[in-house]
Amino acid sequence: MKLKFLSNHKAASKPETVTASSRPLESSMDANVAEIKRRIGNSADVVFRSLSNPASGSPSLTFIYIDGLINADLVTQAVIQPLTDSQDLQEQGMENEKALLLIKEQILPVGGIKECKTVEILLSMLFEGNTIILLDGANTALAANTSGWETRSINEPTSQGVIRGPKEGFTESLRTGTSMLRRRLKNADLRVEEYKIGRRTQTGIALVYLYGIANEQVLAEIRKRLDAIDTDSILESNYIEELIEDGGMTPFPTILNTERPDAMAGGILEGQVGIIIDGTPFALLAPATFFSFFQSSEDYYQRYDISSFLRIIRFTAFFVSLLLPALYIAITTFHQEMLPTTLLISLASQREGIPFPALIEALIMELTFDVLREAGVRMPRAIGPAISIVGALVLGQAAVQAGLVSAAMVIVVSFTAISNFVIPSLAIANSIRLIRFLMMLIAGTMGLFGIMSFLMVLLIHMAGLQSFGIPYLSPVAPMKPRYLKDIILRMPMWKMKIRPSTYGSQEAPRQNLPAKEQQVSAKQSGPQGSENS
Amino acid sequence: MSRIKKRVTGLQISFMVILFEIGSTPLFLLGADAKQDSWLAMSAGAAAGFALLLLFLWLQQRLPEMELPEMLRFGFGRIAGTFFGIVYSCYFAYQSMRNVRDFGELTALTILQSTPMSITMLVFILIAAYAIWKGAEIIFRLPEILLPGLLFCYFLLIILFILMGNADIKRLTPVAENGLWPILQAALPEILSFPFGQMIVFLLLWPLWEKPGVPVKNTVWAYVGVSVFLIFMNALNLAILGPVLAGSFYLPFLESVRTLSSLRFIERLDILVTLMIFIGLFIKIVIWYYCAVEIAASLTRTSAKWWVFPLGALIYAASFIERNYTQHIAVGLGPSTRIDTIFQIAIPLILAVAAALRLQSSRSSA
Repeated sequence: MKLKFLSNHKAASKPETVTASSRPLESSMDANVAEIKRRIGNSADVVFRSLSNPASGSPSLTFIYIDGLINADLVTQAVIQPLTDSQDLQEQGMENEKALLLIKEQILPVGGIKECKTVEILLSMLFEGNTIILLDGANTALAANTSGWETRSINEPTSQGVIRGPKEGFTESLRTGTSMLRRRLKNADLRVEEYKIGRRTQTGIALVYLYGIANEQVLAEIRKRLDAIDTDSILESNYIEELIEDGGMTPFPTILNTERPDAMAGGILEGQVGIIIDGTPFALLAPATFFSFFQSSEDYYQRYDISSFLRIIRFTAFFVSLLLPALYIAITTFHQEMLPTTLLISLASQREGIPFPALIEALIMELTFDVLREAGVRMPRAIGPAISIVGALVLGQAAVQAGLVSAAMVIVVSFTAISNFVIPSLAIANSIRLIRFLMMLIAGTMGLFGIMSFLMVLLIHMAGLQSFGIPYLSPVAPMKPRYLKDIILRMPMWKMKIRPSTYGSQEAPRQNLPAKEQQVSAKQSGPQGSENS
Repeated sequence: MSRIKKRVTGLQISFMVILFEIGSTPLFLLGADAKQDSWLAMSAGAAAGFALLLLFLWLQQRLPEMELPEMLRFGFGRIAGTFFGIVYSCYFAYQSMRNVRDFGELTALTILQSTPMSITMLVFILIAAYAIWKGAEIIFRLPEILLPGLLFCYFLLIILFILMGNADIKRLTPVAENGLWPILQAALPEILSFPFGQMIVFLLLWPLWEKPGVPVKNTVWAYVGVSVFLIFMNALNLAILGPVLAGSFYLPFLESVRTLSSLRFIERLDILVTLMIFIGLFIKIVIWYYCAVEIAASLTRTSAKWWVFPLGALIYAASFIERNYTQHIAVGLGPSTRIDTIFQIAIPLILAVAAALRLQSSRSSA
């Protein structure tokens, strides 16, 4: 089914041809320059610089680079100056092939130099920030790596903050991302595979995994799906996410996204595969299970007791966010007898003057909150306080005083909204945001029975979901009791002796305890102690 | 058979045994005829059920990799076997229908008084059909989420009963006042056929096990565990309500829970009980329905998906046959137990004898 999805996508759009058939460079420099100019058009940021000195006998040269993509100092000092100053090149009125070799091997002090034989390769090197050196009479061009452009410095992640733990997040630069992982996993098994996807954007994509830990089948599947992508542009990781995730209609995300290199390193260590996309600080981790969306990297930076408590809070918040408005509607509409009498009287007196049924009231308030939330994201920073005042006072207090909504409903909606932000992953929080509306509609028509039925449908749906062949609800369904140490509760580090194979990797010891402690724990845990060996 | 994808773990089988046996059982006071000894009747039923379970396990072990329809054909020959297969499919559909109707009635009784039963039952059947459409692998994942939740609810209620001091063990005395005979009479065949004899469905579920052979250990442990739990729940119900009250309510467990009204937090825990009914009955419906579909698919050599909706429609239609709840209960307590005895005990026994003879003859000829 998953592959059908991709092939559908492929069939939907006929690939437009961006690049013509490859054209080799000619030996005449002028002809090459003319061809390149024809290809690029009259773009203002492309710089052509010719050097010719017929008197000295050195061959004439042309440098091409894109202003803004190169480090100007580097180009002057490491490319242009050595070439103009070089005695060797001036003295020998040498043949062009030899001169080219001389430049490549001896004169240029820059790190990466590549040869380009065709116009297409030349152009792609140019767009990556190389300086192209064309030599008159040679049908090969040199590309010197002089790239250097303005990048954002490494900042704290904005969407996934922690109190304790590393404060650096991925940036838009692919290379920065891979380097952050290298710094965390100084291991020869860390592999970085690069792809260029997007006919027009040629976006760099890096597949990062630990060789021998990441499951080979999962890897092969991810590679296959990445190779099958045929699109014109990749501007953000969600493009990749939607194009490679398992098919089928589902509101649940099956790929995790993260801004945190430490979270990614943790995932990679457990056998997940990281996908870093150039141009966005949000990287992907696949395969992902439902429970992985509730794990925050901070869980491992705090003591296990508080982390376990927070996990439980998160799962509770998940259910509150999903169910609270629906339960309120169902109970006030159909099952009033379930409430204690005093609460019932209080609710009833609040609702006395309200013109709408509970369902409409709840829908209005939920939609209002979503409007406020969207406004909060879009509005200019300067008018933020104004929005909060309007939101809190006008839509909250005033609406209650005007008798449009009941105070209890405002409490329900705000608590639901706050609960939604407890969940560490925005992706899954967003999916419940939508399911919540459906849940409210069902609660308004069929009460608790409807809620239970819909929960059952969701459960069956989730039990059937897969992420790259890994069941979405694992390790709970199908259950692997030994892997449950890091799901609802976060057990102490010394209890989590094995690395779970939830993501299809081989089970392996995670830590070896000092001998003395090992004996004690082996005694305590009985037969399971053998995991450790 | 190659038609079956073997993807179910031993643990999933255990979970399924437990959840399927719990079903809606603790809600009723089984063996109410034995008065304060109904828990002893329950124990007797469980013991008899265990013997029956051993028979099923023996059958499955002797005829490995075979589902019930293939066993029937093996034991009774092609034509008679197919005929019995069809009858069994109908029987399973009938059991599913009883649970659907139970559920419809209970919903009308507890949470949705004014919604027509036709709608709640339709929703229920559709959800079950959705689960079966997804396949056995998915169905077996459901108990792993549902059972811990269900047990948590029971645990919570048991703790509350004990803390609130509602349970009085003196209500279980005098033990065996009238001797053993009334106890056995209450146990056989009613308690044997519901819920313990219903283990017959596993003749269609065991072959799904991922390993060769029969998950004897997983099944037996789960069965013993769930039997103890059910006997305990029966005794608890008695200890709370006393034999007279417990015997006169239709849903004694609901009444027991209603005694917890002095909690001051939630006036009535009916919602919890309804949720438990929902989960228990749902898994029962799904399994009976699945077995009916599986037999039909096996007999016609088609994909199970062909049969999901026709049989679903059949079960839904059949659930309207009984005119009212009283008739439903009367049928359930009367003719239904006799039918159960035939299908859960008589036919499997004959089948076991026939299979033993056939195996004997094939061994001697080989």
